[in-house]
Amino acid sequence: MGNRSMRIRIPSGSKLYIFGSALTSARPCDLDVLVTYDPLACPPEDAYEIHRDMVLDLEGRYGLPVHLTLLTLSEESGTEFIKRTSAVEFARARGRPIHSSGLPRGGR
Amino acid sequence: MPEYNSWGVSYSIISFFGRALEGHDKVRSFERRNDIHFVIEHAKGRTLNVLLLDEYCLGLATVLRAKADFPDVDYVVTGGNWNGYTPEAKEYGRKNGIGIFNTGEFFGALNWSHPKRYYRKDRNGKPIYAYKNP
Repeated sequence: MGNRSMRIRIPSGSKLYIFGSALTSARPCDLDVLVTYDPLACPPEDAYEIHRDMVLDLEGRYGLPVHLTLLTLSEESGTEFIKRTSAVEFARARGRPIHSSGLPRGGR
Repeated sequence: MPEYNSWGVSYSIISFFGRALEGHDKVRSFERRNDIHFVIEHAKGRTLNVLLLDEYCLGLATVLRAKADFPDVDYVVTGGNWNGYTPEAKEYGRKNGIGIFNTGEFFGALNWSHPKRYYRKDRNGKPIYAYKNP
């Protein structure tokens, strides 16, 4: 596992959120992650590749497989994904139950 | 078999989908490739290439990644009736010949002559889609 005090590198124009069992269980089996991105800064066809290092960083740091949901800003606003899943922005997720298993620290 | 493949689709989702295909009267046979790619011989003779995912909200980027990783695929199905997709993903599929469905819709689509055109209807006959709308 990497140095948890280091910040996660989030591509410019994107925002990282945590949702699902990692927010409610001390022993989550995976890390559900939402990334919202601006399609003008990050073309949808390249979105997975552009966020690949960030995902690897999260997996290495927390030792959990990441289940990534990538939505454009308009897809997120149209679906209200954050509201429906009670997703929490990564940088603000400190103190949640997952914190006892090392999740998450850092963010930006 | 590993519990998860690189797309994070669990064995329980895959086995449920396979069992449902086995019991569907419009499915003549099917073959599973690369864990989540189903090649289905339809009773009416056509072949359907289906990628099975498990996305609560299937977005455009995931459809594009699916098409890049599995060029032969002409259906992307997100497992579970609770899962859905964004209007952008569905629209991209419409314009590019890719059927975008959740599991329940897909098994309904198999009953249509042109499965990609399938949609559910409300009591007034208006289309309803598994959009993850509020």
